[in-house]
Amino acid sequence: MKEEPVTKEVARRFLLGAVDDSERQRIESLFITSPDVQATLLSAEEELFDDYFEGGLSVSDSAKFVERFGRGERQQRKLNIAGSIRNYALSEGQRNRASSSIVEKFRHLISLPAVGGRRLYIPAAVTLVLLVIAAIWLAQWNNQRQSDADLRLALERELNHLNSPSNLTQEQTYVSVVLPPLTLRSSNQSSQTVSQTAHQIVELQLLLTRKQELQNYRAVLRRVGSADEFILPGLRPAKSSAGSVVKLRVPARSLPRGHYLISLTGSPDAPGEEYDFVIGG
Amino acid sequence: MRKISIVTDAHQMPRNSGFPAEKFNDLLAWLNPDSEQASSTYLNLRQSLLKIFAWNQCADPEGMTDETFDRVARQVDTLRESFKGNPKLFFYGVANNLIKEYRKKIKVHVPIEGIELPEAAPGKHDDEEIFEKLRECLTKCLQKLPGDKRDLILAYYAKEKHAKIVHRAALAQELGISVETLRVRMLRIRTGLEECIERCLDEDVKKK
Repeated sequence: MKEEPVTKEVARRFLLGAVDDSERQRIESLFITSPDVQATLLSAEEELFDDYFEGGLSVSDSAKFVERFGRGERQQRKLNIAGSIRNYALSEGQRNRASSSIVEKFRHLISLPAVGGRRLYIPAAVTLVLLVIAAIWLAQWNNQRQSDADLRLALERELNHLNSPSNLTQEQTYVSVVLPPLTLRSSNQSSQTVSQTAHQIVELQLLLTRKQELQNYRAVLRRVGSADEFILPGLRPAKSSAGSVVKLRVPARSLPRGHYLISLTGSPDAPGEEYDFVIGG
Repeated sequence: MRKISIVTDAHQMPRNSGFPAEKFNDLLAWLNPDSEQASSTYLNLRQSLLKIFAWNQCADPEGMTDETFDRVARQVDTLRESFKGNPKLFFYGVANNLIKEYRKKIKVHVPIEGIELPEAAPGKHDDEEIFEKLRECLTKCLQKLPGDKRDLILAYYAKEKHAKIVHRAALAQELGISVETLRVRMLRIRTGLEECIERCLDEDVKKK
């Protein structure tokens, strides 16, 4: 009988534990002896981790993944480490994109237009003054950037802590706000406002509308007009007086005022839902 | 008894190996007669076995990898004379036996992981401390990486979803390699980084 080549698909099935024992042994011995199979398997594993952290696995694959790669304390720790590397790189990427766009704007400001095919040259003195101003501005901007980064890190830490599985299972007396998805809101209904001064921490209950509940959800929180995103994976559905919800705790006091959007996704097969709220004074 | 000191990367060495260095040299020579290449063949085989034990959800992949090398080393004199074929397959055979033994053992013993223990939920302080420590170890280990590897891993994971595909293709093109090769290269860097973070976290536990 001709043996099935170890394709990406076969590798994925193997990694999710969906092959029998003889197939497992066949693939493992090829992994040991064939550089091509080794590359296929390692590449498939990397892709699988990407899909898991991006919420791109189907419900059953997600369950298989957790069973294979997140069982027991040691494996969970490994998974947390892998997730933290991705989150760190993502936030670094966002920060770099934001800073490079400002530099681009700055560069645009100091470039001069061409007149009659000839470029105008600024006198050295003007350049020097501009450079000094730019240096002062850059230093101030850099300080601001650093403080923004510290603020973001603190916020990310707090959000992760508030929404960690161990914390979410504990009953806390937070003020709850039920948010229906945007698709269900009538046009004359305004966004829920959360008062920063009245509430320190608010539990947002994101109302689930689909009949089929998924095991895990992933929320992406962002302020409208800001490139910063906070990704919160591994949120579980819960029952509340409003129905099935996904609870998301936010530190109202630490969030800058403004309009916020939350994208909630559970599986790649089902479209996600969006929710919004306003942080007011 | 003298311990093995051939492999340069300390954490890649068998941890509790009881066999002498001469036997280890024999093992390397059996794996690859070219002494220059034998070392890298050994490291690659070691990494592969670690992966296999981890995929099979063995509790201590490192310990079982060491045990595989120990078991083969004990037979290396006979093997050199009698074994025909790719030596790596013999290693895999031994590793597979260990996996089967492990499975039998966990069937006999009640798995601790399966028991529903009353949840000793970490308090707010514990959670924050764990997150803080993880972040600290991640930063420390990223600093230990050579600059090009650090830049690459940060660039590689800087985007997600559809943007990630375009971004990684551009990265691969810049490096003159395929996206697949880039992905494998990244996995190796990430594995090293994860090991560093785990050691850092373990050191912290030991200090306490």
